[in-house]
Amino acid sequence: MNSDTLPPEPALLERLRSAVGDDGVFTDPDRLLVYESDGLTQYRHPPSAVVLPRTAEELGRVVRVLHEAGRPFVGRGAGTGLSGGALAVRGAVVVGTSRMNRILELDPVNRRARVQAGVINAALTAAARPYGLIYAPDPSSQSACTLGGNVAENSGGPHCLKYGVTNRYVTGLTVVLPDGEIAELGGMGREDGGLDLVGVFVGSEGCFGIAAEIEVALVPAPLGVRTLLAIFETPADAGRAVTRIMARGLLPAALEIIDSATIRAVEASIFAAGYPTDAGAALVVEFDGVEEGLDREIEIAAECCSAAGAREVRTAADEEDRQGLWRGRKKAFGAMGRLAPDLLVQDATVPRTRLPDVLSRIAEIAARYELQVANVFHAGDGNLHPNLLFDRRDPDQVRRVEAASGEIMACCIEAGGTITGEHGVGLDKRKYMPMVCSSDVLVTMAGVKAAFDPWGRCNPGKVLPDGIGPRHQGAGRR
Amino acid sequence: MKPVMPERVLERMRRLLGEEGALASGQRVAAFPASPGEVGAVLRIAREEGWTVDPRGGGTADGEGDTPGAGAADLIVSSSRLGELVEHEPADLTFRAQAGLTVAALERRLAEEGQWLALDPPGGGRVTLGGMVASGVAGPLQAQFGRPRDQLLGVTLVDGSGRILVLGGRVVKNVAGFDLVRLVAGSRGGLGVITEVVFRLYPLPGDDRTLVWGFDDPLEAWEQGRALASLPLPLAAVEWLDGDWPEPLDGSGPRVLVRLLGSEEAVAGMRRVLEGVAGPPDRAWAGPESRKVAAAIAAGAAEGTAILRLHALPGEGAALLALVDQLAADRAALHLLGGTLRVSTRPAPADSTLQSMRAEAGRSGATLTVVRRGAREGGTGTEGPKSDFTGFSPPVAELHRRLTHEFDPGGILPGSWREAWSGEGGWVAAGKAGTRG
Repeated sequence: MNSDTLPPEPALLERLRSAVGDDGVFTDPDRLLVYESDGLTQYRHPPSAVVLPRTAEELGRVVRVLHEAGRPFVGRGAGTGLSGGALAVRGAVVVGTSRMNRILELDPVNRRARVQAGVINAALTAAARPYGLIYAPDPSSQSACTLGGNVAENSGGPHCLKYGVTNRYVTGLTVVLPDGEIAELGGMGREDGGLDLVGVFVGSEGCFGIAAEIEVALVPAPLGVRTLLAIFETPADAGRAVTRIMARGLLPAALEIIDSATIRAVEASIFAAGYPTDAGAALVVEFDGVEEGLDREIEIAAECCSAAGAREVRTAADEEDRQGLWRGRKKAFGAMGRLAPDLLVQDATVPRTRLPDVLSRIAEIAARYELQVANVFHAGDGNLHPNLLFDRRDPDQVRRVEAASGEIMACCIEAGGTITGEHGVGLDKRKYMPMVCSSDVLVTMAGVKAAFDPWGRCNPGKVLPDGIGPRHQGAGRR
Repeated sequence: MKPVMPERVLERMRRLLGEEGALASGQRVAAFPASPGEVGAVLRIAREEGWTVDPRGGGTADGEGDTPGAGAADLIVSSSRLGELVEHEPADLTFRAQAGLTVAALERRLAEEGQWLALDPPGGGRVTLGGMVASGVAGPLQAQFGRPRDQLLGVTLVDGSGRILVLGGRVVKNVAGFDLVRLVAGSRGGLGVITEVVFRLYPLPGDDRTLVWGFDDPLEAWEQGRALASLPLPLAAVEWLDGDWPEPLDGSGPRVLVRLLGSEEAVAGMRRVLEGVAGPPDRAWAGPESRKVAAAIAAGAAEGTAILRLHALPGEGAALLALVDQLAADRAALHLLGGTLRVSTRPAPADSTLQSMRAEAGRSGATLTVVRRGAREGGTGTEGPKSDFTGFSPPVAELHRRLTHEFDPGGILPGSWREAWSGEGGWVAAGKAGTRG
């Protein structure tokens, strides 16, 4: 054990306990193990301690104590992230929001809610539904992930094709800055004439501070929904159906494709959804809005699928049926666990028209490295998840996965895309950042980070590659 | 910061940009660079000479925090020679264009492909893409499509050191690094000069209709408008209007306007629900006529009027209406779902009137911005009251100071000198004040 992972000294622990109570601080290795990784399990770093505040004020006190002790720290929601972003490297203390799970205000008149950062995404929508409202961003982990984590990662989800991602809906934040100071940013119904600090805080991956309370805009639940499932011989055919649907001027709420490897994994699992196991790809298309016109839209989409060579098109007859059509897509990641001991969940975005081309290049790269790849993607957004299957006990497989990932990223960038569409950079993709950002942009990002965190103690070792720092030293607080 | 020798600066600019590329006006110079590289060189010269810079698009939000026309900056950097549509890939529903292209010119080009940029910023035909991004404000369509920041995928910014920063990308989902695109949107020139933008597009809807209901009483109109806005329908725009509006929105008095976009069936369905609540509309427009109504609202205020913008929670809009009751309002428009009231008035309100309105707004958590100062009785159009953004808390002020320093270490951009943004000298001074506080 190097000095980095040593628990904080007793005096510091005492101060943390006095900030949040004895039951809110722990350092026993068994309990720390829960916090050693997130959803991307190849990275493991147990924290030196975990602190669980209950309110914004407690969170502020905890961060101030850590700041005064010179201890790095990292905020953590439910740990469902997929980039290693919430891991405690460099001896950091984890500040968890699991006890900050209260919905503070539900205001249907102004269609907004104010929540503590640890509130679970799906719980907010459940609370808003009686008022005919929902919280629109719906990441696949929505039954577990927290709003605070969504803010840090600027999370997306299948329906963001039509509705947009988290930053569209966050209207105000109460944040704890890295020195423990509490700042109110933004807020619905006011305009302070300054910079969009809410906009830049969302997606800052926990590097600018920790969101304590979040104000979000809610939207009316759609009055009607129609869903279809189309089965194709190849992913390229499914991709052509997507192009046809968009060319007809339609804006579906979701357009999701899963490939044959994924279909077979789902059908062999407890989540079997009745997708044909010999299919090359399955496409889920959903429209929502007012009832009128939905039948016509789904009809047009069905025509587009048939014209692109679909061998089967099913339209959901009712809600139960609809959930069934979605099951294969929603449980894809869970089902892949059967295919190999380890799964590298990849994430990249390309312009939609480049999808067929990029998919065939990914297949070629995987074949060359003798790896199995299972694709799940948000086709309407061009957001790909080419997941690589491997066994991390075999160093040669690990090396091949690493090399193939790098080539897949390069291929997506070459197509005009980017290295992450919704999972974030975290620990995992820092090395790829110079492929998408010039050194001036990286240095500017470091400068913006330093404006929030001149001490570099808030979620250190994330997002920016090593060796990138701000150009103005001492630009920070006096 | 005192300008040195306009002749020398003019000479340096002309050597860089050609004879046509720079003009002098009294002690001030206007530069017209034609590429990001030229913008960078212009800003480096300004920094060397200690000249303050005001980035300028169509000049429609001139008052956003300061004096229009006779403004305080030594050097105006115009985007009028940056007007190209660089790239439009219809199948990807995105485009890349230079900052000086006007929204109106862009929409004409896009319509040929059956697409549109779903934003209708106030200011009318002169609004440029760069200006819209810099001001960050949105028109009636914000009800369904949000603000420019919500449709913006990428931006090229030349910062106060002359560095060319290509931020974001051209895909709709992108979380590679910190979101500097959103920091630039709405930064009002405070972080640099925007030279290029990338936006997402939408297919033109099958049907486009605008319905209007007239009322005798402004408050009655507001209540009915809120009732419509609160229906669980995806309304593209829902506005309360008062005053004399031009064709095709002629006539005066309080009105509620709803714009519906979508398939014919969906629009007809929404219309039935609206009529069930408010009865048949007094007037309705379809297709190109509906777009003309939107353009008339975007064009907004008449020449020479002062323009104020007030914000409150959408449910508290009635308080804003009461607040502006004391003004000789020419035209007023309130976004019933967004809570923004935009009011034009002639003559410009007296300083004391504005002060008391600001204080009153502050008591209910609302805010007030001067968009254009406008003319006083017998004046020339620039003597109306100024904006005043001095409401930053100490940590927020300190963040502004540090961020401004990162992008503009020489202190030449508006974030460093605009009096209205701190009461003394921009966000930088606001930061210092914050530290003292």
